[in-house]
Amino acid sequence: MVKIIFMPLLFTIGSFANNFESDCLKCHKQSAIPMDMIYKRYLLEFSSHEDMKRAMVNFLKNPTKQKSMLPKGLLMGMSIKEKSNLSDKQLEDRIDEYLKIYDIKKRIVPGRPTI
Amino acid sequence: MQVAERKSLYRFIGVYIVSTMLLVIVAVSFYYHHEMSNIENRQKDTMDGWSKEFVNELKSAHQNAGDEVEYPTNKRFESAIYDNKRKLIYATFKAPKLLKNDEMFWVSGDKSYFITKVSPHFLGTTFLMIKSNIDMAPIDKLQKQIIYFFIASFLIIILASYLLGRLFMRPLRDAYSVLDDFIKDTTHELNTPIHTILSNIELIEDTPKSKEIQTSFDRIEIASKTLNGIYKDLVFLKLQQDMVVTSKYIDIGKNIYERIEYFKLSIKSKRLNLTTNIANDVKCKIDKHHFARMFDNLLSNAIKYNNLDGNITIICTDDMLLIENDGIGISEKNLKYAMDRFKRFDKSVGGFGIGLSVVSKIVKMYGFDISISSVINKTTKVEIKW
Repeated sequence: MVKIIFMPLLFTIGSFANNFESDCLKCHKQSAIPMDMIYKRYLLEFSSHEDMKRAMVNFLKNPTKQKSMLPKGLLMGMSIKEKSNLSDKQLEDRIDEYLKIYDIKKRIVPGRPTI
Repeated sequence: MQVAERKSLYRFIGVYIVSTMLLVIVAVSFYYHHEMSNIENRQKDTMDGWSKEFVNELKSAHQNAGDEVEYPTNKRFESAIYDNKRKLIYATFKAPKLLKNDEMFWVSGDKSYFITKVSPHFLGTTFLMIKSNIDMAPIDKLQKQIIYFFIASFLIIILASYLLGRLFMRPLRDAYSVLDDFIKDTTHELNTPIHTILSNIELIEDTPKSKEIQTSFDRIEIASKTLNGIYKDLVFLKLQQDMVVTSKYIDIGKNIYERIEYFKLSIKSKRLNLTTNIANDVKCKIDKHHFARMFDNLLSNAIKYNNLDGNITIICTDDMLLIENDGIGISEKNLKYAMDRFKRFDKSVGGFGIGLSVVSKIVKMYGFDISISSVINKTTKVEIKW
């Protein structure tokens, strides 16, 4: 099951790798903040991809500690990232790619019944 | 029990049962809806509890989410999660892609559905829908209770209506009883004077009399015979249980002519034209006195309710007797009451209105058929088939 999910995920990542890797992952890998954790925090707060995207664009264009979805403790030891240099279109495309890669709907599998 | 009394009792019982059952149905309907609402509320509370437990499981799944996310499943219910745009994220059953319901709880067929809002949005969930089989046990129990209650209340209502009806009918029964006792007593008291008059009439019948005296004598004889007819009817109605019935084949023609002879003075006094067409040797198994009562009443009515110079036709075949007159007639509306005792449509002529009632009783006693047809002021036909 893990392979079935994971292989297409790698393929998807690979196909968008150029832009997404250079524009996003490059820094995120260095800062050691997992992209999946960010997705989960946005999901927990905004529920739908539409609202998550709106919030991400808003943050990346004008990042503040108030808008950040990182845990307060983590934020205290870190400086806030700089404004994105990407155009609105590029920014939206990268976020779309990101949401597509980590889409929760694609990752859900039925668990074993508890009762 | 008299027919009228029985009719009144049945009507009372009918009205009582229908009205009381309607009341019971309304009360039971309220109770049923109230209980169903309680059952639904209990189901809702149960599902509310399940949804709270499930949100915790969603939370755990969210926190442990890796490359794949194990969606919590449960044998007690099925579930579906929706985002804040009401779009389906995941479901363990065939749930709608877009959530349109605004209700929190509803029932469809044998399934119940419960929706709750979730925040924070574990796995992106804003709306959690739970689907479960309805617990039919309390509903079955309630329906059984209602059926037993209906049966029990119906039986009690029938018993109560009968007892109340009897109580309700008592004054009427007492009034009937007084009337019956009066008629019985009067009948006994009439016996001696009527027979004294008739015996003495026979004694002096052949004695030479002047024309005026003869006319008066004839009137006395007609009146006495009429009185005797009434007396015999009353005896039949009130004392029939004491009478010895001897049913044997009798010569109907002979008996008809005997009775016509008995009524000849009455026919003559009204100048009626009597036509007879009686087949030879017609036999019928009936008590002679009963036939006389039946025929006397029909002929007496044909005379009484006829016009002066009117016509009476008597036809008798092997299986039928028809008496027709062209007198005042009976309206269509009154025809159905013609057989009722004490029913008289023309009170200008004598009698108690018991004649046709006597005929009806004799007809029923022997299993004959009677039919009456009439046209006002034209004709009345009474036909008896045996």
